[in-house]
Amino acid sequence: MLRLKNITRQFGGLAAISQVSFSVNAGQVTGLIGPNGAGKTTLLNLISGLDQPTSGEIHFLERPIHHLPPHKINQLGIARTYQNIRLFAEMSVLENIIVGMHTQGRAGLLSAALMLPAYRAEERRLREDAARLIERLGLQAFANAPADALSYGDQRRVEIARALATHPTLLLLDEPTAGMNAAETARLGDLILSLRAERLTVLVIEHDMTFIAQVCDRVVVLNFGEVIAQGAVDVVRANPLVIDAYLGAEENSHA
Amino acid sequence: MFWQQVVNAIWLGAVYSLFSLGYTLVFGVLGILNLAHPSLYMWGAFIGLMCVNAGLPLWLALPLAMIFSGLMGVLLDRIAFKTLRDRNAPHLATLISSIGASIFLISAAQGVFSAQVSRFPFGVFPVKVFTLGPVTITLLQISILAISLAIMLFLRWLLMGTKLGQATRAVAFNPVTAARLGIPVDRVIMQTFFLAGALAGAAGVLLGLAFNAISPFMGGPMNLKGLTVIVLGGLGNIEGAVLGGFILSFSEVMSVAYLSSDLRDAVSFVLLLIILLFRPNGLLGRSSAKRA
Amino acid sequence: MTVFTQFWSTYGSVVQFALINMLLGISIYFTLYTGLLSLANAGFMAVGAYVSAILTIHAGTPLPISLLAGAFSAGFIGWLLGLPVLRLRDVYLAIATLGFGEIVRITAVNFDKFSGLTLLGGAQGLDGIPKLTTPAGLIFSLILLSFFLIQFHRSRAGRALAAIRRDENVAATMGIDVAGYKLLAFVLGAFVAGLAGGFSAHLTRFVGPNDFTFSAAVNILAFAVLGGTAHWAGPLLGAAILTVLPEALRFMGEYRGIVNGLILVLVILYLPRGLFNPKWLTRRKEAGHAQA
Ligand SMILES: Nc1ncnc2c1ncn2[C@@H]1O[C@H](COP(=O)(O)OP(=O)(O)OP(=O)(O)O)[C@@H](O)[C@H]1O
Ligand SMILES: [Mg+2]
Repeated sequence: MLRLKNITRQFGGLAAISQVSFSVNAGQVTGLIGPNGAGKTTLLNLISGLDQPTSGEIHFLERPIHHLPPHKINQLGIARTYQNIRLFAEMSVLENIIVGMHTQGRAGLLSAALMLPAYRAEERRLREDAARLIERLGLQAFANAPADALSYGDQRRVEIARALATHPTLLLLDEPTAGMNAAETARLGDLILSLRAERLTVLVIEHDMTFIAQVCDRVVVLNFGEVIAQGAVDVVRANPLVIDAYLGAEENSHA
Repeated sequence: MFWQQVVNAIWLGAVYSLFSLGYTLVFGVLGILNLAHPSLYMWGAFIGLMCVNAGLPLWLALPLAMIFSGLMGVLLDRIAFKTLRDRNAPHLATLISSIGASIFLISAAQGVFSAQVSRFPFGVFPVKVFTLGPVTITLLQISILAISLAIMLFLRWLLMGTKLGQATRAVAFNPVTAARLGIPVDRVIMQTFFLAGALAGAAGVLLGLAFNAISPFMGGPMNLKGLTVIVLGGLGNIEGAVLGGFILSFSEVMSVAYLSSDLRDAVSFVLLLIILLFRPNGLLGRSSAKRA
Repeated sequence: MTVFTQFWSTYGSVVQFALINMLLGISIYFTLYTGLLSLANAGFMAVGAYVSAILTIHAGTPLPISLLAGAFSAGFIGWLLGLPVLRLRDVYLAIATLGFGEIVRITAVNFDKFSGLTLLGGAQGLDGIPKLTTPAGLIFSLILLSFFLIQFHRSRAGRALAAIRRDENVAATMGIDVAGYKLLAFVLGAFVAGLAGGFSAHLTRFVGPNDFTFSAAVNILAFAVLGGTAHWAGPLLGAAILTVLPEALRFMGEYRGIVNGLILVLVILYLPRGLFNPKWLTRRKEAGHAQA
């Protein structure tokens, strides 16, 4: 479904991503793991169009997307969340999600200004859809609260709801469990599995290996901007290269 | 005819460059587009005039005006920019603050001096004309060119050949790293504003002499010329500003000579828009002018 | 009643200027709200003023038609300008739009000479425009626009702009065409500025090329900065204050402009969100949140 071919991204002299190739299969949950600074977020930025690769190609549903602007990529069906939560702070949770529904609306300026019935019907429909998403993510209690008043874990779920509001076929999640407690993490795992059951494809960056083992069909391991292993979770976890990468990173962070 | 135009363009371009150097220097070091820069130019011209009216010789009036407008530049930074910098305010805020400061300075000049056009007393500079074949040039124009070039060379030495220059370039590159390396960032910034103000003041006195017309509003047209020059050269680019000054003076002078005097300003703005649209980083520029 | 007529005969024109300035405040609100520092609004105002005045004078069209034609022309020019220029980053956009204002001025001055027509009146400008602007017409337009703004902010486009204002990258990954909506905001601002220009031409009975230069652009900016741009009522408040203030400051004579400059700097330094606080309008809703 998503295919990366020889992707390289240089920042000045430093190659944050070099010659990365892998695929994300439709209907699967793929994990993207690797030590801090491995280039995972950079890769997500490239896929979502916020950044362009120095070289290489990205294909989504057999179409090249590496030169498209982010809104076009989203309209093709790719939505994402952010590692450092980026909600519209002063807007309410509901409003955040309705912004995510932008592409589902049709009403133009004129029909809004004149409050035509079509506009009002559309607004009602958007609000109903948003309410359903809020319920699904268990955010009913905060629907009208300003987004920045929520706890970390709740904000992460609002981000997911906002991304789902764009009706994606591929969902990119950047460390969705960061700041969540164990119960919240487990519930998020269930949610991702239920989304997969509805044929949504997911690419998720995570550090929590239990979570990865719970939700992922496959994992791709990145280290220093290169893919060092990919495959089933158990196989990859036993791979000596991966163990080295993680142990090396541990040692560095202890040093 | 043609060579006469070339001569005119050369001395005019030198002053344009002088004016624009300070403009681009502040942008290069701080990323600030200081729209009050032309007001310092105007104040410099007035101070020069006042010195002359007070009986001081011109060779003393020029440096005094430079020092005054330099200090004004420092003051401007302390009042209008420093707070914003400390707060990490957006570009927009700094730009607006500089616009406010410029209105303030223009109105203050209107009150202190006069809204009318003031002139240097006759004979403040010896009227002497040299003829070289088909070309004539006045002693004043030669002096303006010489002084401008001397100041520019001095600036070049200051930025490239001294410790101060090294520190300035370090701050321009990255103020946080510079501070970590022990460079007194705040002092470098003050020096930068002093230099920029002094350059503007020098340009004010010299152009005030050349056109013999000084008014609180003389900064307006100069502002737009200065912007064209520094955009041509690439915002923050020192060599670019010199190049841009001469490109602008040549295109102005030549369009007056060969097209129509009505088109003089039009040429510079068309130039400005073309550069912004097709080479927004300037002819020599590197940094990115487009949105991310 | 006599008190009112007396007031009106003294301050009637000030009130009408305040209303026109409020329109201009709305025009710059569209761009500033979206995070664009455009100084082109004075130029758009000129387009609206000239087009509507010419129609009224030469075609005898009724005021509403002239006004709309002026506004649509300004909007169209805004679209033509915005397409290339909105790709530029903050400072560069400010410079490009400043250059645009200057090009409008130069065009106004030279159009007749180069076209051989007598339409724009060259440097002298156009006078003898019938005085058709009425307070009622102005108030009606303002009310209509306010209603439009309220609805706009509730609409899909309004939400998209709000998202872009807060984080344009995130907005883009939500499928929002950031460049397209910026162009929309730019064109809407141009349209309203053109409308204000038409009203102004038919109030002062005069349009001149020098009414729409840098300082006019800056005045418009000052309305929004003083009032704040988080809510459209901010620029309205700012425009009202800054129109009335000079009347109140008459005693300051030549120094009057100083206050304008000072306000701009002080507001940016100490009141970066402007005078108008949107919370004034939403206090009741907030209380509702607290209970939820
Ligand atoms: N805009 C940028 N400019 C320069 N370097 C960058 C930029 N963005 C990322 N990098 C560098 O690229 C490398 C990869 O960063 P990235 O954020 O993708 O890592 P990550 O795998 O997401 O790490 P983490 O687990 O900490 O989130 C880092 O060395 C980072 O400093
Ligand atoms: Mg990351």
